[in-house]
Amino acid sequence: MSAALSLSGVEMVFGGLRAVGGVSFDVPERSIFGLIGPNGAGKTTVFNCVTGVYAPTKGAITFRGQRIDGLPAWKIADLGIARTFQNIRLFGQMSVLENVLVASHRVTRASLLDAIVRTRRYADDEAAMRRKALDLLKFFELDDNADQRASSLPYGDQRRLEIARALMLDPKVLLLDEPAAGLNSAEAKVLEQQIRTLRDRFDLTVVLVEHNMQVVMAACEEIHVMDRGETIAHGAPAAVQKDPKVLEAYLGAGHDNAIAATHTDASATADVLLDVKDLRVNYGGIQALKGISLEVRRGELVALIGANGAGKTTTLKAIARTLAVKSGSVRFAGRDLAGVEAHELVTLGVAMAPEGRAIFPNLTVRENLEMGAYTVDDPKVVATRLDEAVTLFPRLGERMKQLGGTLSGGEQQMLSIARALMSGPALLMLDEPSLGIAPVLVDQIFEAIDRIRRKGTTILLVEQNTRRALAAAQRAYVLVTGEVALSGTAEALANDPRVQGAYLGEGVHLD
Amino acid sequence: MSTARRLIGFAAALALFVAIEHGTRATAGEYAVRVLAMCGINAMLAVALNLVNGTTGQFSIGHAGFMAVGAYAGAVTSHLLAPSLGASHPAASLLVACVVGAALAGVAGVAVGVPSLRLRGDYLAIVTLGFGEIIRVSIESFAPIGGSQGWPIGAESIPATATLPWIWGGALVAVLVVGNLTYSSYGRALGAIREDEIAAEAAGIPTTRYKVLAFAVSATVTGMAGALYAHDATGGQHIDPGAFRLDRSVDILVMVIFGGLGSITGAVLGGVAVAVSLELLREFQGYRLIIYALLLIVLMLARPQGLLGNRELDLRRLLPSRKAAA
Ligand SMILES: Nc1ncnc2c1ncn2[C@@H]1O[C@H](COP(=O)(O)OP(=O)(O)OP(=O)(O)O)[C@@H](O)[C@H]1O
Ligand SMILES: [Mg+2]
Repeated sequence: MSAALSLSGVEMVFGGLRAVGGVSFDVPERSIFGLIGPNGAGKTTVFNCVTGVYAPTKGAITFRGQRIDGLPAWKIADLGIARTFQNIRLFGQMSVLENVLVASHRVTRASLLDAIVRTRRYADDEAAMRRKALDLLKFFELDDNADQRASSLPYGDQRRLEIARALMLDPKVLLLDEPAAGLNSAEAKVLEQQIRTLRDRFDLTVVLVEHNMQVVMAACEEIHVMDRGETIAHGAPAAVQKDPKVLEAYLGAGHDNAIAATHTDASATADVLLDVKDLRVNYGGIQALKGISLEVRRGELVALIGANGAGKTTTLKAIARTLAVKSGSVRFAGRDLAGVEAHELVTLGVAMAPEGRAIFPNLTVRENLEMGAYTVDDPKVVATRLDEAVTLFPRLGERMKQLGGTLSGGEQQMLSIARALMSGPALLMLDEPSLGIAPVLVDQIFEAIDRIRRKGTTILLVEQNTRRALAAAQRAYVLVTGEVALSGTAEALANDPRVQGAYLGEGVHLD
Repeated sequence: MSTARRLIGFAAALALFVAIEHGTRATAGEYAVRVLAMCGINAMLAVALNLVNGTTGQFSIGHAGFMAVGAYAGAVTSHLLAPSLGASHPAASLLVACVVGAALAGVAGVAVGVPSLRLRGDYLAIVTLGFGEIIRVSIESFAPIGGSQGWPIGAESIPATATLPWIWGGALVAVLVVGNLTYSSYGRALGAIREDEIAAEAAGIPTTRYKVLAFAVSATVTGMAGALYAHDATGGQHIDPGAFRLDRSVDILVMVIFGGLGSITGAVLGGVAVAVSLELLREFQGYRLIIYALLLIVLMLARPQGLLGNRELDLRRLLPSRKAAA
């Protein structure tokens, strides 16, 4: 079997940090190859070296026998290596269709002059590319959204759009960086099948970086495991899954089996802290929220669950006043938030760790954290909270001086949560805290969330990992296409078959 | 559309411009024609700069330099052609002057763009700022083309041959070239560069090459505007280096932002609006620039995205649609 892509002794050093320390592996032609490891292991950095974002400091990368390390990124794309990005990089202001069409640019035969004088050749070319792009969009069920602005798509659809754009390049090798992040288990299952279908249909070699173990184990034929820049295991999924080193560094002991329910704890009071009534939000002509009502009592952890696009993030944003609300009311601690600016919320005691992290890329980790405590005047309090943040996420303590934008995806997620806690909020809103987080750390994050709540912070949690969310929460709301379809205690919902129904996108039967 | 039909369309537009020129002169006088000519020059400049600052998301603040290159290169060409082609076929001579002015500005665009567009960030702004000043100072110290005194337009010097139809014809060419480029696969690539350079590269777009391309096309169109400006037959007195100061670059930037970054029709409107408002404010004399600045502040507060945002004004949308009529 020949190798489509082969790395030998690839090393990438940033300042004093060896992000990748001499990694070698061969990706067989037409295989689905997994690259996994804990947060900050160097997986994305390997992708960046292969696709020319960085030139590796040492080592060789060969694509079908040709050396490609050090070539400019566009040239590598041109040769046939396409990728998606962990931190979604779409052309936000452009339409969904245009996003895909951009990647057709290299295959068009029309010259600049053809384009300027609009020759027949240009018109034919453009029409052919449009057909091809629409076909790809159809495959990902995005053809109905072709004219929509890319930035207005829900997270999961943005990920699919990135794959469609990558495929427009007619690649031989496709690198996917956490394509299942933000998808629930049913959606992830569909994605996993799609990856296989794509491989067969387009004759692709796929390299998959992913923290969703169901997807990795089902899709990959061979897996390479890294930790702190080094290789720790390599082999078939079944063997890798049992490898003691992988278990310790990455999967964690009780991986997804023993999620202890904490909802028996009854520290919640009857005092309603957040009261949302009949919230409606429109995006363009589309009704994103069709009248959401929910309440969160002081000391409670309430989960908001539902499929991709159900309106969970929109609900949080509407509460945080970062988007325009059409009608409805939000009361926090008895106060109507109408007319309150988004930035005033922090002072009132509401903090949010948004989806997609939104950290300050050009500030250091420390500065990012300090920005979170912007409303806190007492330097002693800030210092204590900094200590707490570092205890919660020791990795952040190691990286206080690193720029936020250069952190790995998982590290950014840690920073986002830690920053939200810096203001000492009464209400903490977490949007997908487990997104992009390695399995071992997911356990730790949920433990941390529970600790935070026990210390008296009320939490509103949006999470795709339903089982985890329901185990951590006291109560939950299930959203389906912008409406609350079900609500109740987490315990009841966890045992309610209709929740799975809502998740599978089959809708809830409300009788 | 066939080539023949396009040429007929263009000829019809020129005929219309001739009619407008005569009509305006007869009804509103020479001064109105002059204002219309300035609107046309401004429109060209704004449409050109919008390609770089709006569509591609880069930041140039030295386009007056390219205008100066076009103006002086065009003027020198006419001067050299005056005894020969200029005497027998003044229109052909002006055409050659425009082509030479545009081409030289384009070459200057490549020379400025290649080193500065390779780097991300503010380098382009700094380099273009420096370039504009270097061009101006060089002209000032070069006596054969008038130095800091300027070079008169009219008999014996630069022929005053660019009438309103020439200037508006140039603006039409600018809109067509830049418009077709912007709304093509090339324009999409430029938009991708504006949105996310790393993703654009990963989509196979050689970003540096495309940025230089956009910058060169922009400089070329600006050079054409400069050449026409140098031959202004609607009352232009002379060209002088003082006309190509930083103020001019800032003015062009204002037109683009006023119209809406990324919108071609917006750039045209911005060019027209700046020309007209500066004329209307003339009677306030000393307070003119203060009022102008206040107007800009009010506009930015009321409509930060500019008049049209990044959308285009579509005349067809204003007319009753054919489908509805049927
Ligand atoms: N440009 C950079 N400068 C400094 N450090 C960097 C840079 N890029 C990455 N790093 C560091 O290198 C390490 C590897 O990062 P990388 O993004 O490859 O991790 P990853 O395996 O993809 O992790 P995750 O699963 O969290 O996405 C991280 O600790 C990160 O902080
Ligand atoms: Mg990563």
